[in-house]
Amino acid sequence: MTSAWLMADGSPIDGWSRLPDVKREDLGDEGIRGGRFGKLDRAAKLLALGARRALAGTLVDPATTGLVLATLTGSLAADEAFDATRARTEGASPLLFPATLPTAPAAELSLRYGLEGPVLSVRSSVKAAFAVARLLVLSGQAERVLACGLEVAAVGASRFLGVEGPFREGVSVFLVDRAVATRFAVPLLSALETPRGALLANEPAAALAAMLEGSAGTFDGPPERG
Amino acid sequence: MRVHVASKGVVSALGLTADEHFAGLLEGRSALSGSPVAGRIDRERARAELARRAPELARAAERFEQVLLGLALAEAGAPRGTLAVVGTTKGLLEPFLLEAGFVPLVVSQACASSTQAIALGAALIEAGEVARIVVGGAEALSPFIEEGFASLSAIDPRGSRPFDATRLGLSLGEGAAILVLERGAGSGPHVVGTGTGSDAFSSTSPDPEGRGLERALRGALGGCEEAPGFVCAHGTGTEKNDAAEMAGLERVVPGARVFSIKGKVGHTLGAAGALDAATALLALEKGAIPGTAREPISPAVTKGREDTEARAALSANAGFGGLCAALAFRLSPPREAGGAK
Repeated sequence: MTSAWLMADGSPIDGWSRLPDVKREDLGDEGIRGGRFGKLDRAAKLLALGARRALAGTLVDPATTGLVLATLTGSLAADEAFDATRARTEGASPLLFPATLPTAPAAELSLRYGLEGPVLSVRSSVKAAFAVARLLVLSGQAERVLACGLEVAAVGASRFLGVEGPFREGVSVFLVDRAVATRFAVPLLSALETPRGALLANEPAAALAAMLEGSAGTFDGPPERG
Repeated sequence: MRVHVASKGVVSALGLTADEHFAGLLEGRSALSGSPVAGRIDRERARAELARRAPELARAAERFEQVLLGLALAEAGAPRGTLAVVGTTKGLLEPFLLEAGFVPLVVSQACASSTQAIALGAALIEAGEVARIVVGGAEALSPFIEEGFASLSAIDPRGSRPFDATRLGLSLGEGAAILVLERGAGSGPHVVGTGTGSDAFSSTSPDPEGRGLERALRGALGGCEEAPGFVCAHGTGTEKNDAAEMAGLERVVPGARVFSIKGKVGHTLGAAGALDAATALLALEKGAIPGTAREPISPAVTKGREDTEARAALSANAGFGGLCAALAFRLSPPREAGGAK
């Protein structure tokens, strides 16, 4: 099983345990369209880091690979950053607006890897992302799909989600190919529990990894700590 | 693929029902107005109509995108207790859907969000995971969205003119559309193909050759037994989108007629794919397609209303990040000859 997950576990500040900032060298440039690091927001950088860890040493054909991103807060920090520019005399920031789309971190990753398959996001858990990824593979929309969970610190998370924190930043990435999709039946309806835990979309990542590890036996250990 | 479209509901700036919406399109009526020009829906009228049509949905709807979704759900007679896969970009739909008795999955794929929602719903039926499903999308205008697109200088101050040589940008809009899909080959319209593709080109600009859209169109056509007679295209009215989209369409479906509804109702973002899909279905059923441009950039683009005998059609959408999706529909059994009804 090709996977990676990173969860923050430090003391919360402003309601969030945060992962360390992602540096340019953390993402490397092998097989990646460079030159965009400076344009990526925190959500896109964390997702790119998770994907790089998951895909280390794994060759995927970008022409037939897709991505399903589960996130509740993925664009919330971008919303807040853009919102803060709306009162400027020169007007709202055109540079920040595209990142307010929930799909933005996924779209950025598709640019970096050249993914030409389906790229979408769901407001649910990574287990739902896995179920959708599996559906896309089995229905022939892609040969493999990265099923991802991503939560990123945002000031207004409690108000937006209607859930009290503290929350934990995190990213989880699972590569779903035909073998995985065929072997592990995760119907979408069974995966649609509303994420309410501190890890939000990443909450089922440990159980998902354990399930896949149990049969595939290649999951490479406990979650890395941020 | 053969997934029956059992019912539908449509809300746009042209009307609060599918029939009002489609009649307005065929009449060539534009609902774009105001400053900045946009396809706005009267909020008091919409709330009052939802309260009349479905009081329980009206009580659950707080935000305006929820009101719009409620109207479409009510018109479609969407069965409670079912999975509802709905697309939006900035709407908050889950609390409403949960309170209204649905099991929600909210999907975002930029401006192809609800196209993808319909595609996923059809795939779930094909896979046997559900026998019936509610799919579609909803989006409401907000200062956040309007200022965002204004910051990108994407708005045409005169109003959107899709596929027109004089086009200068898009007009925003709001709306919702819902389809109830079910297993089986009953008579009427069917989803017969779905496709998705990504440009991997730019975070805001489309691939000039429309390659992501081409992949999506070819995927959707894989389920089509006959050539589609027309395409309800994304057609936003921006210079780059319409040129790229037309390039893709001319390669994949060179004989098809092409129209866009965004010059009449505005670009409804996450709801656009569902509105386009519902419009394509209405056009198949009614045997007529709306006009689009006064000075079309291609002979394939409609100038005025046209009658059609087509039994198969496509709808296609593309969004920021080059995220594209397409759907193929077929009327079965074929509509009786006789042109527009």
